[in-house]
Amino acid sequence: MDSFELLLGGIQSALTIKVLTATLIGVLVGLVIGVLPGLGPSAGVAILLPFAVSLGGTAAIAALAGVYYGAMYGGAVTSILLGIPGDAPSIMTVIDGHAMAKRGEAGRALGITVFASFTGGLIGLLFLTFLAPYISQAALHFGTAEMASLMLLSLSFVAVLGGRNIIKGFATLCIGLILGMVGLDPIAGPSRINFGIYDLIDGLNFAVVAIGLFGFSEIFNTMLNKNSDLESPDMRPSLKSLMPRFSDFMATKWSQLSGSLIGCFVGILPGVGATTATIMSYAAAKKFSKNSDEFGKGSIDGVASPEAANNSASYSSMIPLFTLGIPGSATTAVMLGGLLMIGLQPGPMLFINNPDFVWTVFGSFYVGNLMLVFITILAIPALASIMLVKMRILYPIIFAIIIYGVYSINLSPFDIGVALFFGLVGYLFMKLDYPMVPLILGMVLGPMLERGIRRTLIASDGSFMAFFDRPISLVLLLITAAMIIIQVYKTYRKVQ
Amino acid sequence: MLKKIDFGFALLTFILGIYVVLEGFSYGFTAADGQPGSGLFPIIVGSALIFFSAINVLRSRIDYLSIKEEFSMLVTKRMLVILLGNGLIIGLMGFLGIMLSTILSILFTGLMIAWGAIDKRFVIQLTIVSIATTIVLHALFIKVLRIQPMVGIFGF
Repeated sequence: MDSFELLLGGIQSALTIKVLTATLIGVLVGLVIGVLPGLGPSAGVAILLPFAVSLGGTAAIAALAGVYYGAMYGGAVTSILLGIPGDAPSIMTVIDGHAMAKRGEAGRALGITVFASFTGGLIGLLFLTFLAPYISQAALHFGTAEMASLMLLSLSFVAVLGGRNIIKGFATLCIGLILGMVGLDPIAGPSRINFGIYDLIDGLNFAVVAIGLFGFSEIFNTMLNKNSDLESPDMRPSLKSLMPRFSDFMATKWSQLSGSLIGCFVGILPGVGATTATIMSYAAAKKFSKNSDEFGKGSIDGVASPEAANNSASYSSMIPLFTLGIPGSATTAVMLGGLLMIGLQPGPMLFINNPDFVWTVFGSFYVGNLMLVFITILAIPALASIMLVKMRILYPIIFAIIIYGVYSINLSPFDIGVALFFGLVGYLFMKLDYPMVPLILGMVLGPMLERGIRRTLIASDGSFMAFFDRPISLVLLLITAAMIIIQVYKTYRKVQ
Repeated sequence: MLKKIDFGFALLTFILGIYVVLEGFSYGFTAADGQPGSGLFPIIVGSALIFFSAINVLRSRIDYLSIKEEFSMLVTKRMLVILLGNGLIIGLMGFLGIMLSTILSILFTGLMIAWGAIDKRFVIQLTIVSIATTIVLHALFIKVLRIQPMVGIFGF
């Protein structure tokens, strides 16, 4: 039997009441978890794990996967409506999604998120279904040198994302890299750059910084705006603006496609994750857009591309999990625990020993992806109506949500203080024309870049030639150099 | 005012770069066995930050890319009040507990946003919202998600 027939059989098995109910519960729980700041898919999957395992078999994995992609969408909801990233991969959605919501197009932004998530999810699923064994083998050719070069390429996107002031963009990137270094050295062990503060010995939590930088800074900006006590007209959207627009689906098809493909390839690489995929896809969409000036001010492509990448990466990150037994992210690591708890060992033998299980799980992913579209489309008008609440009531509520969300990450009030501090930093960034995205980019990718560089140097006895001897690494480095040179030249011409 | 802050901020990042480089040297550029040490990356990144910050310091002095928006003394004072007020409430969380701290924070934030247009109706509205929101959040995070709460001296 070929893969297509096996998949049809899997979808048929996934349409049983038990699996459907498990998928629905997973999706709903995921949506709620994703909406709460600080709690991402990994927390959601972990919370539902005991319940899911009690369901047993395919229903267990269908429920866990439902939480995964439900939380992915839920994260986008707070990003768009409140300007607070629900989880790390939603950060790129904040930039244009929240700008659209502020100008009264919350429904459009939420709508394109659903469509792009569906497209990304479908393409990721097709990769997972038909190309998993081949892609996972290719991914094994990515050693530490290739990983480090890929991280450098991702960091070079600062040249594209850095706004009109590239120097400030690179300064912000350096600050992000430094923040990523705070805490324990991943290789040698000592605690670094902790400013003598005991609570920083373990490092800074990325979600805490991101919530402060985007969420609190937005509130500070509103508080310090002298007209903020009034209801500004652009925050009073019409009923029409609360509805999704189907025409946006076709208008952003190329951004969705490029985002999905980037998400597929980046998501497969263990440890790289959906956040990198969303950053890369946003940069690519901006780079190749005819209206690149609109990015950052509420571009629909700026929402479609990272959302497609986010969802396709969530499925492709399951490729190494199912085919090799390697969890590529925190969420898939928890899912691996789920598989082991129901008595299954992921890896090549899973496809041979338990084909019915594998194809039913894949079938449930297709069903769940479609289910998510219907649930979220129906919920959009209700969600978007949050924008009808007066700012002086809405923003204090957001403040409270952030307090509980940040506290729940490490059960530490110190983290709330850290988020407040980064709220101030974010506010200053806004006023002084420092772009915020490079800071996040540096903080996420910095530790991976450092590990890659140091491990490569250790393996090559300190020779930097190791990065140029390997063809994939060399190509990635050449693209990085070309990208920076072209963008710096373009900016120089613009300033002239 | 904003240009002064721009200069001050660039200077601060410059000092941060120096601090990171010095810390890097204290961890060691190379380890005892000659392999790259814990200080390698901090030294490289710190040096890059010094370089970019130095350019930003110079630019802020010669007005290379002028910042058009102004930043009044009033705004600075208001920002400090907001930060100190919320910082104090969060700092007292161990004493007040997460519920009371959140209620106070909502009240303080709401009053600061509506500063200059506060009336009795709004205060009542905000008080109800602060209590209701906190109860809902507490139920969701503490009761449903089973996050361990921070309990204050009042027992909640």
